[in-house]
Amino acid sequence: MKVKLLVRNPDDYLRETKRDIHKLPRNYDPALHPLETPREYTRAMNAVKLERVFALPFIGSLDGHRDGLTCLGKHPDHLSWLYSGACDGELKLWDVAKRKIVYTVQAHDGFIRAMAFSQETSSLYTVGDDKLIKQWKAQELDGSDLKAPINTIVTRGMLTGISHHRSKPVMATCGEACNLWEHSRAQPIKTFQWGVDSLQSIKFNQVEENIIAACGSDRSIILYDMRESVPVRKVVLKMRSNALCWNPMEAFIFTVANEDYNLYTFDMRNFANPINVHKDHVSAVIDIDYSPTGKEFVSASYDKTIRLYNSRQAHSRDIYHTSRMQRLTCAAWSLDDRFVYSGSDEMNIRIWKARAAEKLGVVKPREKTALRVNAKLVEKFAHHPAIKRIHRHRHVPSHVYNSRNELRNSRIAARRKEFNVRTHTKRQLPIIPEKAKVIVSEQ
Amino acid sequence: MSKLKILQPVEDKQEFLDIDEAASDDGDEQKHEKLLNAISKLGNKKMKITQRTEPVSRINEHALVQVGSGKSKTNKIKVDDLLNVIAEKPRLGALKKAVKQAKSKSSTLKAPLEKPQALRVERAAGYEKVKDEVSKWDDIVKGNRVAEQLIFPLDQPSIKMQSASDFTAKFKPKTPLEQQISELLRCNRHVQAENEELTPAEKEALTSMSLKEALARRRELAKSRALQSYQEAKARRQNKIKSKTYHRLLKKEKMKNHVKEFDSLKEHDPQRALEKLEQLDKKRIEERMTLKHKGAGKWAKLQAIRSKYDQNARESLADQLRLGKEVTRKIKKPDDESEEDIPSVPLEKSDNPWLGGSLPDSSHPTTEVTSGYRKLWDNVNKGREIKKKMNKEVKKTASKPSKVKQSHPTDEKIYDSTKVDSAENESVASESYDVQEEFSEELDEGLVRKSTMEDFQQTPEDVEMKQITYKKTSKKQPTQKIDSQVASVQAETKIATDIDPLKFISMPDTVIINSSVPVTEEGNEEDEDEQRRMTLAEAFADDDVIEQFKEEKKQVISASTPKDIDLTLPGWGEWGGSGLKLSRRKKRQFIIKAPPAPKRRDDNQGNLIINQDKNTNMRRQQVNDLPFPFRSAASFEYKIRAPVTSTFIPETAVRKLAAPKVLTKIGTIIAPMTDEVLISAAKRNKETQDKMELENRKKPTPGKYQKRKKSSLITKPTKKSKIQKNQWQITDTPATNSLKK
Repeated sequence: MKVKLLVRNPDDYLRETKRDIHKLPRNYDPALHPLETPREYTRAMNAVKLERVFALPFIGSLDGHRDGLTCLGKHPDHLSWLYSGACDGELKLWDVAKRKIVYTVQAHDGFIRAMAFSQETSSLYTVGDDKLIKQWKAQELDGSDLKAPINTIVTRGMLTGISHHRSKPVMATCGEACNLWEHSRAQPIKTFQWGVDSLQSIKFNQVEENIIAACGSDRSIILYDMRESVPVRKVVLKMRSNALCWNPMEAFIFTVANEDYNLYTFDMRNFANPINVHKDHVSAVIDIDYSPTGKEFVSASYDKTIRLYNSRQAHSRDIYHTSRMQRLTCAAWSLDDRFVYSGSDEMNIRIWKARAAEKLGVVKPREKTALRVNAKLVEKFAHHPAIKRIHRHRHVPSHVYNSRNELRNSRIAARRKEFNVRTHTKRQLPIIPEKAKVIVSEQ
Repeated sequence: MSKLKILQPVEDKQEFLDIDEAASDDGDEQKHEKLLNAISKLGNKKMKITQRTEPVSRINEHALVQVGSGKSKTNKIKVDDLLNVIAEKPRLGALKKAVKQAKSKSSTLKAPLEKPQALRVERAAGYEKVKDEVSKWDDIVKGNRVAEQLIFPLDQPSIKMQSASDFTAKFKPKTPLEQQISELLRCNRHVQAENEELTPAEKEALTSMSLKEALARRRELAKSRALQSYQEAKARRQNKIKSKTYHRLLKKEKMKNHVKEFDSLKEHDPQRALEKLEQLDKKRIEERMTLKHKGAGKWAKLQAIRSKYDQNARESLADQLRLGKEVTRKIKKPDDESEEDIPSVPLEKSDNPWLGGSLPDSSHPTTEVTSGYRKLWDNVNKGREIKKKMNKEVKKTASKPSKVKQSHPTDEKIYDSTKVDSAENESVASESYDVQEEFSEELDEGLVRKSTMEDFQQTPEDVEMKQITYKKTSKKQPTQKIDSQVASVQAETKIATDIDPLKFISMPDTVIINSSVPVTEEGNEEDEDEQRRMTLAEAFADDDVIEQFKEEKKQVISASTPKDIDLTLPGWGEWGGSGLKLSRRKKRQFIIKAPPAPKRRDDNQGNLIINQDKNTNMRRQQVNDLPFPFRSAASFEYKIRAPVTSTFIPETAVRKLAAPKVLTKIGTIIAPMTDEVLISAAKRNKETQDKMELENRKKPTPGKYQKRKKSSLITKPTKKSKIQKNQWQITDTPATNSLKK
């Protein structure tokens, strides 16, 4: 005779050790889970709160300069090497991982204005207020090759910026004009001049390697082709652009940091209007650097904050500030897309996380999936007001808060006035889109 | 040197002349002449021009002196003179022509532009060049922007499985023997290809036809093509005719043709006749859907205004309405007389549209207009009858074997018995039976014409059930089934009669004709009454809307009113048991009286329910506007509803859903994009192209075409090898192609 029994073997549901993870059988029939969405909403709420709890972007500061920072240089081959130039002409090499100075050298008399790397010869070029271009070797781990420059070029005019061609031994400097130099020559091989104004920032396109863009003090952005004999294009904005950066993944996209508190992203092929206007800063934007993925960029502003933008969105994704950080002069995004460096007036370089709530160090697979799922949940419910409020909330210093309100009010007032003018005039002027307003002329 | 020697004397002479003129007096004419002579002599002597030619490598153009420059212009040598000299030589005839052409077209070049303008042009040209160059990245940039996931650094080696067929496809015969074999295999028509049942040769043998057949077929095709083109031309010509009367006549004629066709079909091809019937029935449905002939058009409205004063307008409008009625009228079946069990509804004058407030005016003669439609429908009905009879016959014959097998009473007899049993409902049953039989052959239930109340109330399941029962009738207890069915039919009629046509909500009409024209309706009055009753029943067949609404409102109101809270415990402090009343003390103490219900906003508004318990707190947690990337609320809701966590979906799905958009590796430098990405993309394109090519090549092509292809196949490998040598060529061409696109 067969006797039917209910059998429960503890081996089926008890685990021997803590690490012994069973795959629990589950019924995924949606009819059995009527409250899917509400439960996920609660999880999303928790996730977004946790994200804010863990959002501690500041990692540390590199202290050692004796004057305000002017420029930062990321070594193209070594992640942890960071070069910095200061107003007193000192050039320092940092080991970011150890947060220590590796080497210091008095590079120029007066400001070091800019620096650029040549990956092929692994050398560093600096320009300073003493009208010199200096070439340094950047190979030794202890920085001992920074003792003396291996080459110095004496130039005639002021130099404010330098950029190096990605593959050829050619560099471009800016100042009173745009000059192209070759490694082996003491005279520029080419000079581009358009008008008499000076340029303050110059950058080689890293993807389409022969194209150069520069910002002029006559509020212009000028485009050069290294192979042409004349500059190619010029667009004049309402206010001056301070810095410029090419998108490293999109050959024709670049962004300029403007004096009018905004950043403008342009498509090189269409200067009629910028493809994006990035707002949120409350003072002049001084510097900008793209993340190596080309999806985001960091901007340093005179309002003592740095902001991180999605390169295709108008508003910033995050704002970083500390009470001791003064006016920003330079910013850089590390080449592994995880950190952001900022240099400011009060002689400090600061290291930040590129994503504020990211966990540093090794993350176990389960934890990784959990974090990803949390991020996905937040993304899914990001439009719900309660979650959005927590997700977008940032504490900002009072001066930023107040001036932001002030700016907002003035913008509203301007819009109101425009509306009133429009409604009370017979022959209305054509409506100019907000983006196109910033462009003064294109030549 | 020679130049100087020639020129100098002339200059000297002139100088001398000038001096002479200044010093000349009236009287010294002779002296002057003398002097001149002397000078000329002197010049002859001293400055004798000696010309000599020296060979020089380059002839200075300034050294050439125009011959006869001093004397006259006629002596100038022209190109024509030179040409005349060479004209005799036939070889140089072309040169002459060219010179002539050059002369006729000759124009001076424009002066170069000013420097700023020239620079501007140069810049514009340069900019265009740069723009073009940069645009080659467009595809990649766009692709990266929309990519589900990007893994940095971008240039990672791709790992993929290579199937055996892929590997063998790459094989290229090298040795002569291999080549021979492959040649034999590839071009042989007796080799079977993959996924094919027959070899090309076999196929050809199967499909081939004789010369006679082919010729006949070609002739046939040509004929049909000619006919078609002729018809097209005719249609085009007819379309151009603007006359309305013509088109009306044409329509009538077409209708007649249809009827005739139907008649002819009815006799020898009932199957197709039925199809034709369906088609015509569809036309009626379409007509019912449109506003045509309903007095809603511009013309009708105008006529309505005019009709007050104009007899003609009145008539034409009436005509139109009548036409509309006619076209949309449902055909009465010959066996509809049996359904007289619907209680008659009193047709009083009221504003219930279903009751037909205004009765048809008898002032207008109800002349039977014998239009095509009417005729057609009569014919259609006849055709159906014929069909029914035929089916019955077929059934009879079909049921005979079953009878033999199962020794059950035949269908016919059973059917007869039911007839005897329920004499009243007999015709109903038979009718439905017939209809069912008629359509069960090829059509689904959705197309069953619902002409009677019973039909209308039948749900699809009912019909299905019927079908099943009728199929089973030949096997098991047919009498019971049919009895039960009859009973259900009776019940259904009862339900139908329960609807009270006096309960209604009056709605404004969408199509209003405010004319004095009495709406004429043809046909006898009784018929019309009946029809109206029927439509009323049909309209409210499914539900009692008004009662339902009232009930619903009552429920909503009762749900919103606060209720008394009863906290009494039976038997507590008193005797317990059934049938005992609560004491007043207990009532006062333990029943908490509800406050009076607040006034509802929809209290005095008869047909309106206002939802008052909307939760504002809930509202605050919900999304106000449709977020950016979504186009519709439905899509957004769909996204919110789809779960992403592992509680509700499998772990693998979770991992896939939660995959981040950008993946980077810790401690890896991400270099800016390089040309290699472009190249690899192009390579991928090339690979896919190659694959396609291979597949195409695999497909066997029968007949002549294959023979032609043979030569190209032989040449192909050499081409390919050439391309492969130049790696750049491979990669560049697809990229540029894609750019052009």
